[in-house]
Amino acid sequence: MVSLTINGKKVRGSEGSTLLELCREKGISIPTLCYHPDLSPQGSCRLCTVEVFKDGKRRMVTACNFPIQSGIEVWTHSSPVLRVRRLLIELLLARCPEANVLQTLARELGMEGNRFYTKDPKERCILCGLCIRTCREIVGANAIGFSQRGTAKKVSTPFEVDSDQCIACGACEFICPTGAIQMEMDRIRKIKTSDTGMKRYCRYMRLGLIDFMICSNGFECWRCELDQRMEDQFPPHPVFALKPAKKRIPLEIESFIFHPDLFYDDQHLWFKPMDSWIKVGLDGLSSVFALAADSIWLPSEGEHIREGEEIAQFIQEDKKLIFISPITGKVLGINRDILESPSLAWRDPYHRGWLLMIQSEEKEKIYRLYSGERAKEWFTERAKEMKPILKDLEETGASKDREVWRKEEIQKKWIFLTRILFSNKP
Amino acid sequence: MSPHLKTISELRSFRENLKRSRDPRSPCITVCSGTGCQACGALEVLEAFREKIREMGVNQEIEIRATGCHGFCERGPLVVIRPQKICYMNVSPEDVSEILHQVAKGGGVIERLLYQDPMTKQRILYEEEIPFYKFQRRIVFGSNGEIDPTNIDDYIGIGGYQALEKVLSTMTPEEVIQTIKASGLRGRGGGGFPTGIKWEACRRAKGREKFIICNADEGDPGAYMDRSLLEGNPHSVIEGMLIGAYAIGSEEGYVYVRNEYPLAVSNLSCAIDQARAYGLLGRNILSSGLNFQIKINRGGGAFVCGESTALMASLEGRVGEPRAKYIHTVEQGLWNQPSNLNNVETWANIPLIINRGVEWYSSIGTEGSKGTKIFSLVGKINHTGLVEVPMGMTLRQIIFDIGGGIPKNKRFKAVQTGGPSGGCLPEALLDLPVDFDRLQEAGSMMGSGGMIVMDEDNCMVDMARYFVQFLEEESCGKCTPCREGLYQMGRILNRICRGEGREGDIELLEDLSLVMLESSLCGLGLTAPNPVLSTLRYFRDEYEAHIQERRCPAKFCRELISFSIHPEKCTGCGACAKVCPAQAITGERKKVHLLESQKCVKCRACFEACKFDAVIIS
Amino acid sequence: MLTDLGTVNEILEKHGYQRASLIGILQDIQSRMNYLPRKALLHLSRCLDIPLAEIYEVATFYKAFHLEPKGRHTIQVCLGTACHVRGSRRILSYLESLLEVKAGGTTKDLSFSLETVNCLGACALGPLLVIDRKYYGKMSTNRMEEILKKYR
Repeated sequence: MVSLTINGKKVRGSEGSTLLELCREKGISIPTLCYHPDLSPQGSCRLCTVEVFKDGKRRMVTACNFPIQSGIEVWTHSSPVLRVRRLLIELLLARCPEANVLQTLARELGMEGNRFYTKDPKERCILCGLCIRTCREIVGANAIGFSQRGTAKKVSTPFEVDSDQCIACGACEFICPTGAIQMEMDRIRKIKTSDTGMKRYCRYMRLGLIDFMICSNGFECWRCELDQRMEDQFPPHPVFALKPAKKRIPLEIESFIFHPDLFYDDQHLWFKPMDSWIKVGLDGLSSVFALAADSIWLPSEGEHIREGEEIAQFIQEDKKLIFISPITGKVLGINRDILESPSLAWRDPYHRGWLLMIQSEEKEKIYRLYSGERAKEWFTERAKEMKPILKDLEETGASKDREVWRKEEIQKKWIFLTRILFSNKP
Repeated sequence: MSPHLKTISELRSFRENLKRSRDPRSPCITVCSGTGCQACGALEVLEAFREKIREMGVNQEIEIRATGCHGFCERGPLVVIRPQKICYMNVSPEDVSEILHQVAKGGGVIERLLYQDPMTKQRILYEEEIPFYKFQRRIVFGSNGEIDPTNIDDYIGIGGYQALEKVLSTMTPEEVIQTIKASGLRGRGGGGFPTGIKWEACRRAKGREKFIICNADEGDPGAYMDRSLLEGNPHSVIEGMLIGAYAIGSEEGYVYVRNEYPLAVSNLSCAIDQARAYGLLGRNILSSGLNFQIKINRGGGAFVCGESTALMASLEGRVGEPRAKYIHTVEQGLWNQPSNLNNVETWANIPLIINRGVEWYSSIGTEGSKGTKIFSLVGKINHTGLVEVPMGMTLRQIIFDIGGGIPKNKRFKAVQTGGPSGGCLPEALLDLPVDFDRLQEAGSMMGSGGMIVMDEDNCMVDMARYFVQFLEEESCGKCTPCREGLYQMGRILNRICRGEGREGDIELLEDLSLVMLESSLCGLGLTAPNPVLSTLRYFRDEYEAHIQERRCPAKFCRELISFSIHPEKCTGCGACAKVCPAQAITGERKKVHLLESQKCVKCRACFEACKFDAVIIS
Repeated sequence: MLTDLGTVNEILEKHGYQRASLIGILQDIQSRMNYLPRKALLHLSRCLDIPLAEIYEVATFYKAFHLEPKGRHTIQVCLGTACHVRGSRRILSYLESLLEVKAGGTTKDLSFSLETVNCLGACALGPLLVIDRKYYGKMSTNRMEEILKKYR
């Protein structure tokens, strides 16, 4: 627990929570525009600015992303704070004079008039980015983003044309605080029946909320029974109730990183099916060998690999760890960074530490591997066995001795570790 | 043939051999090939030297060396004859054979190419006696003129990688950090944060990997010392980063460099390749167990990427938007791992401190700011160029003693330091000693070291508008105060410059500035009002003249001035009419010309074209 | 200019299909193809597994990128502070009226693209004009026509 003072009162909050969370918990209201509890804080509207004193030093911080610290003194409604808030509202109102949410805030702060210039009286977007983060972090569709920068910044689809990625779930319209986004029914229909990209799927299927669905309503959701049922069952908006994209981000299991959105085989290789190829890497467990490896061998680019042939070797003095390919195909690319620095596989196993990309017709073989809940269970089991053997692996502090120790530790236990990890290995 | 050096002693003996094989007394002609001199034709001069040497077929002992920037960009192309260090300026290919003959002969100088003192008309022979160089202390920048940046042997030959040697063989990482802390080195990128403390925090931070980053996204307009260091002495930066990697415990380094600096990019990549070939980068460097490699990332043209968190986002291949630094980048930076970012000049200081010791280093400079600082002295100044001076030198010394004062006998008005985050300092502050703290107190800042001199013809309201417009374009647009605030600020300043300023505009600017100073997300927004506030502080009367009298005291703001032709001075040469894009000037040859003010677009073309001062601005 | 995905693939290969190299990849595409064609970005999105929306964000955020074809010659007017105090704005507005195009635009006949740039670090030469990487220092409005003639 962390204890601090807010507006002269001593309060306690749990470590890692933000000032805004704590204030809301204690019933102190702080206005926000770009904050939403389900989304990563962006700290861009600056309306939640508060005054913080620490060791006699004063600073203004945004409550939405400021982690609480013990001993600090916080003022949420002091006159400098209110001065900042008033001016920010004045600026935003000059941008979007018609936005109700801003008018209300201005009234609450007792403001009148506006000294600033309004470019477009019809403008409604305050660039809070809630829609974009919702589309990315909750829906996972990535259909919209910011474009341009500075005063020209705006929210748009790529190239300002209807996006193939949009699944017309309506979450952006739902979250927009100023009514700047509106669903247009005829365009939605066009999106849903578009022949490019993922075609002819219902939004709930593309969200992974239902397994299979053939639409009999010509993608006119407002006539769909299932759609009605989903909306009733998951208020206020099914996407926000279920947060499909949140289930697809990497998580830590027993201090090993696991990615729920990939396919795994018994060698602890991960596979990610992409366009016409498959990306391959070591998972959060098997990548510990990368720490001890002196070098890595990978096939060369353009080489043909058959199922059962080697696709990677981790070499440490006389020991060798060999990985074989479960598919047949052509090596499209290899990760050259990892050849220079094998430990990259451990440092960042699912992102920068990938091994190679294979162009293959055999995607269906990948779909038969561990995935979803089954993969997670399997991974957790192994992680639990690995954990006691590799205590303190994470705590590097990156001293040279530590690195050497870590390397030696894995070298010593190499055989033992392979037994745990690869007991099912063919 | 490049030796792959496997141990520290191999490096040492390689250096000794190099030194032995090079006779310091043998003639060497160095041609400055920095961007500035290249733009004035240094490459043509260099080519002429090489060709002439071939032609002459004599004296193969004369070495022609293309070096990095010598600093005195105003007088480029610069050629220095070593070992005497005779300095020739504004050299053209036609001068080459004459120079070669003199050198081959082993004596004699070419008077007309020497620096001439504007007061005494005396010619000055040696580089170090020219006032521009005489008052400098070029400890970081000095080697630029000595070495060929594309040849690692040159760097090793003058003691390069000796600091790395020392660190790897005799010091623990903790000792390195203690040394840097004790030296008092502060970050040269702008904020002036103590480097050693940053390193220590990064070393302590926990993470799977750590990154060393060199910020070469020198975005401050009018500042180019980082570029010149990277161009002229890339190995000193690489050596600094290697020492940092050892101290902090990092395997991976990045240099984020502006794409507008093609020569810096190519010289740096060449240096990295050579260092790798020599075994000074890569795995198990000199058998010390240190693994380190450096990658170059070219920026995409965004000033905001000079901000540490935006730079890291950009390194990750994303939009360069800053994020809150409540959790510092030394704990969670690039890819959320502990990352240590310093700018080019800071890294280049590191080998120096290690080699020459804390005591020596901290004897230079002032109480709170140790060492030297490189400034780019530009604008309305006689000796444009890069100058390295000990911290604490006064503005007057820098501008008048080194910089040679203001051209055309105009009056000094202000000097702008710190780029768009800094401020304009007036004549009354010319005796201000330049260091981190004093500049800040005066309402400006050190920034990366741009020093832009302005004379009586520069309008200070226009200067403020210039910086605000610059920032408006460069703001990432993420946070409200910066995005909307700069937009409104730009509008207000625009109308003041147009003579449409209103009562209360100054107060509105102040209100807006205060809130931006307090509530913006990153350094760009937090310091954006500085140019406005500092000009308001020192040149408020100019604002008032614009607003109340609709007058621009500097006769600069377009809407507030008009052009006419003085009938007595006009000789009827027609030069003005020829350049006028609006056909506003008419008149027969050899007769007095007439300027129609309705047609005039106030482009100043005629004013510049007229050799008889007949075009008058009122 | 045809959108040649082969070129994009070559560039991708050179960068080792690294997602973090996105900006470098875009720079290379731009320098090979003169701008960033939509097709190329769609292809990148698939190959690098980066949502198109994010690539579009990057492509419109950084000033170096263009989504429309550029002119045969690029004129850059340096608007760095040193050039500004020596009158580079005037050079720019003169050029704008001469070429009948605003900064950031391309002339109708696709012969010139007019750009501004914030400091090229050749401040001693200000005001500075760069045409296709060739520097023209100490610019004044009356020299402009003559210089442009070489490129017409």
